[in-house]
Amino acid sequence: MNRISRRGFIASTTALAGLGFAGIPAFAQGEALPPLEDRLPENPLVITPTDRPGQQGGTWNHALVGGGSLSMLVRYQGYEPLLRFTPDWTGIEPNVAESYEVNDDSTVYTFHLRKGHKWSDGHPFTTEDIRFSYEDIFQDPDAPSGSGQGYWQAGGEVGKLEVVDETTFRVVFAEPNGFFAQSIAWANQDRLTKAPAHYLKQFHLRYNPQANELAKERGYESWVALFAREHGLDEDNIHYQNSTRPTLNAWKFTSAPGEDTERAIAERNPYYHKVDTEGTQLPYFDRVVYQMVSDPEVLLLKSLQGEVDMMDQYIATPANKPVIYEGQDKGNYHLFTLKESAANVMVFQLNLNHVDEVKRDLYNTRAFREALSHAINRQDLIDAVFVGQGKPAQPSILEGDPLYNEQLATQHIEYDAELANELLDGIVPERDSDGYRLDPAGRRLTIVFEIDQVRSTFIDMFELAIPMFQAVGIDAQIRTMDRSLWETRVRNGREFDATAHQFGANSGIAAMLDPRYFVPFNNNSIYAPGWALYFSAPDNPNAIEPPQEIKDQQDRYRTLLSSGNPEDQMATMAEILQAAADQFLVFGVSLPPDGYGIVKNDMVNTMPVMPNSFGWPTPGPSRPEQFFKE
Amino acid sequence: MLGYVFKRILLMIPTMIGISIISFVIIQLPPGDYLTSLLASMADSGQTVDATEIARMRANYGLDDPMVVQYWKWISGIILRGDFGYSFEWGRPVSELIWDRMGATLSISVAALLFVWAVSLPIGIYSAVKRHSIGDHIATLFGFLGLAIPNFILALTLMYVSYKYFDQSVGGLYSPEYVGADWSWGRVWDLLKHLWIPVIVIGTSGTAALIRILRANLTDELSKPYVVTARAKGLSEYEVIMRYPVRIALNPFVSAIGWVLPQLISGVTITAIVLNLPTAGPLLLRALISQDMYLAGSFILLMGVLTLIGMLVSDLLLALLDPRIRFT
Repeated sequence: MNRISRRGFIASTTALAGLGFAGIPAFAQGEALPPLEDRLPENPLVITPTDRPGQQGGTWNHALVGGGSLSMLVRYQGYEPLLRFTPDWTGIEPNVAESYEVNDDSTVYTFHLRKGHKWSDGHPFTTEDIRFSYEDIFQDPDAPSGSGQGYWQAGGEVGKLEVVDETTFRVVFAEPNGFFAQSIAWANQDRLTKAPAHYLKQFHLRYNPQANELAKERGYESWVALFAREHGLDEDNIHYQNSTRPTLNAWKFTSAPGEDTERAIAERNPYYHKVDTEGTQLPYFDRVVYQMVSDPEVLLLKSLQGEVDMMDQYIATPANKPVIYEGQDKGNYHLFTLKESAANVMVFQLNLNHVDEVKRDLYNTRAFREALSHAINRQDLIDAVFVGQGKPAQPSILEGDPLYNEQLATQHIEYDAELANELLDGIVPERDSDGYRLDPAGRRLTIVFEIDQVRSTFIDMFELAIPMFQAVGIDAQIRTMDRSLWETRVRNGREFDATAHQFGANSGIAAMLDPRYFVPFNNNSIYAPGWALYFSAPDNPNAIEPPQEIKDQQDRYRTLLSSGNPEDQMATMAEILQAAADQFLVFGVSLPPDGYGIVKNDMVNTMPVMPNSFGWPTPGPSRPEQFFKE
Repeated sequence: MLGYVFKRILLMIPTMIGISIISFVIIQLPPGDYLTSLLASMADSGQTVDATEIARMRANYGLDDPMVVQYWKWISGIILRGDFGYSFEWGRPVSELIWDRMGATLSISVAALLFVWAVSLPIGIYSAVKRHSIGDHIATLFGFLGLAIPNFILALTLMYVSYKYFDQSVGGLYSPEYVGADWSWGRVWDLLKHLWIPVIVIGTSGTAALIRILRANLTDELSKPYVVTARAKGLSEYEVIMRYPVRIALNPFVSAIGWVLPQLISGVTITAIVLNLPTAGPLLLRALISQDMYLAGSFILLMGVLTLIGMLVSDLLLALLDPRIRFT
C-alpha cells in the first residue's frame, strides 16, 4: 500500500503519469476494462494461426533454470519489435508497426504505428514513446545507453529520428544502412517498443526534478541508476524483474522473476494489438507461469512428468534424448525438431593476436593451421560425443543454402596425420627427446587450449583431440577454468594460446548479421581480438591493425552492411565467404546436428520444425500468443 | 556464569570483524566481478556490449571503487542502518531475499534435525547395549551406507523412485497447483508428500554419524565401575542405562549444536539444488557463481554470526549437562 501511494504522489507531481496509474488497479482486479473495440488499435494485426483458431483461456506452464537466465524471456513473451522475422525465417514483416517503407538507397526508413495502440495499462502508445526511447534513453546527453544498438550507425553516425505525427516517424541515415530493418527484427535489439514514456518519465531528471530524491529514497545513488533499473534496457535480467512497467507484450508480469524467487507469473495484456482470423483477441493463454528451477536435472524430471508445456532449452541435450524420447507417453508430450543455426559444434581458435611474437607468427601461418586441421579425426569426435550425429565440416554455411561455399565447408577436413606431419616438417622440423616439435625459438611447441568449464561437450571432444595433436608432435594441452576467469583471460585477454567456442551462424540473414568466424568484427571473434576491435574502434589502444587481406575483408563487411538490395547483399556475402575460405582463420569439427524440444500433446499451433537461434528467438517468432490448449 | 557469557560475547566482536573482512575479500578474489559474469551470459545469448557501455554500468554498480571503499559501504550500511545492501542479480534488497527463504529453510532443517535425533538416539543406544547382535549389525550396515552414499545421489534416486512409482511431482516443496495457494489441508498433505525426501536425504548422513558416535561413547561408559555399582544397587537395567551412561554419551549431540545453527540457514546446498528446494543454500551458491557480492557476503556473514552463537549455546548447554566441565 505504502509503495503505491508514494508512486501516486510522484505521478501527480509530474502530472504526466496519472492516467497510467489509474489504470493499474483496474487491471489488477480484472474489472472495469473498457470494451474490446476500445482496447484494440483501429487496425489490429491479424494473425493466421499455425493450425487453427482457438479460444482464450488456460495457463502456459513454463520453467526457467536459475536466476540469471532471464534473457530467455525474450523467447517466450518478450519478442515484440516494430518488425519481426516470419515464422519460417525467410524475411521480416510488420509487428508492432503497421507498415514501413524504405527509400531506394536505404537511407530513410519510414514507420507507421497503429492508431489507437495502447500499453498494457491503457495509455496510448505513440511516437512520443519512440522519441522518448531515442532521445531520453539511447541518445540521452547525461546517461546515454546504447548496448547492442550498433545497427543504428551508418557511416560512423547514428541515424536521426524524425517524428512526423502521432503515428509516423522516420529514421534518416547519413549513408546507406541496408540491414536496419533486419536488425530491428533481431531478438532483443529493438528498444523503441520497450520504453513506456508515461511511466519512465517520473524517474528521469528532465521530466521530474525530484528524480534524484526518489532514487535516494529507493536506495540508489542518483536518478541515473534508478532510471537504468526501471527501463532495464541494458540488462535483460533487470528488464524482466519489473512488474509495474507497462508493456506491449502479450503477457505482463504480475509477479516478476525476483519478486518471488520460486516462480513468476505473467497475465494477459488486455490491450494486446493482435487478433486471430475470427476476431478473437490474442493471446489465447490467460497466464504464463514459470517455475524457477535451480538445476537442469530437476527440470528434466518435471518435463518427463508433463509439468512443462514446451521446453527446448537446458534439457534438450543429445545425452538426454533417449530418456526424453522414452517418456513421451507418460508425460503426454512429443518431440519437435530444431534446426540448429550455429556455424559449428566447436571451433578451434588459435590466438592470431598473441603477445608472443614467435607463437603469433606460427599461428598466422596458414599451413600450420592446415596441419592441425588435418591432424583431427573428426568422425571419432562426432561418434563419441554426438552419438554419430553430424558430418565433418569446417565453420561454414549449411549445404543447400544459396550461400553455401564448398571450399569453406570441406577444405582440410580429411583426417591425414601423414599430411599433417609433412606440413609441420616444413615449418617446425626440430623435435625434442620426447618427440615434441620445437618452435623457432627452440621451445617445446606447446599449445594450451583454455576452455570455459561449463562447455562439457568441448571438454569431451578435447579428451580425444589432444592425443591426435600429440601424434603429430604438438604438445597440445587443455586447461579448463571457471567462466569468469575464462572471460578475463580469453575474451578480454591477449596472452592465451588458443581456445574453442561455438555459435556463429550457418545460413542466410543470420550469417550476415553474425559472421564472427568469417570476419573478425566483434568480441565474439575470439581468435583475433585486436583485429576485431580495429573494426569497431580503430583508435582504441588495444586495437591491432590487421594485415591488408583482413582489412579488405572488414571493408567488404562494411559494404555488406550498407547495401539495402538483397541481391547485392548475397553477392557481397558470397565474396566474404570465399575470402574467408582462402584465409582459413579457424577450423571446426562438424555442423551441428538437428536439435529437439518437447511440447505437450494438447498444445495447439506450435511448429513441428523451427530454427534454433538467439536472433530468431526460438520459439518467439512462431508466435506464442496463438498457442493454446485443447 | 554471567561474567563468562559477557566475556564470550565481547570476544565475538573482533571475531565478527575478522569474518566480515575475510568473507568480503574472498568473494572479491576470483577474477572479474558481477559485470564480467553478466556479460559472459549475455555474450552466450548472442548479445554484444561495447566497451563504453560496460564502463558506464560498472560505475552505476559502484564496482570501480577500491575494495576498501566497497567494504566500508557494505559494512557501514549494516552497522549503521541495518541495510545489507542490494542484490545485483535479483534487483532486491539482500535482507528481503534471505528472509523470503527463511521459512522453508528452517522448516526443512528443523524437520531433518528432529528426524536425525528421533532415529539415531534409540538405534545408537540399542546397538551399544546389544553390541554384536544381529540388530546391531543391521544398524551398522545401514549406518555405513548412509555415511557413504553422497546426499545428492540419494536425492536423485529417491526423486526418480517417486516419479517412477508414486507418480508424484518432484522437486520443490509443493506441486505446481499449490505453489502460492492459500493454506488448506490439501496443501499440507501436498507439503508432507514432498517433505519426506529432503528430510530423509538430509537426515541420513547425520543419522549414521550420530549412531556411530553414540554407540562408541556409550560402549566406553557401559563398562565403567559406576555402571556396575548402579546395577549392583539393584536399579532396573533401563534405569541404569538411561540415567547415567546415556547422559554422558549425549555430549556430542549438544556440542554439535554449534554447527547445527549455521546449517539451519545454509541447509545442505547440493541436496537443495538437486531437489529444487526453495531454501537459502541454492541462493547462496548462485550468488557466489554470479559474483553478486553483497548477497554472498551477507550470507557468509550471517552464517559466521550463527556459528558463533551456536558455539556459545553449545558450550553453555554442555556445562549444564556435564558437571565436570567448568567455566573459566
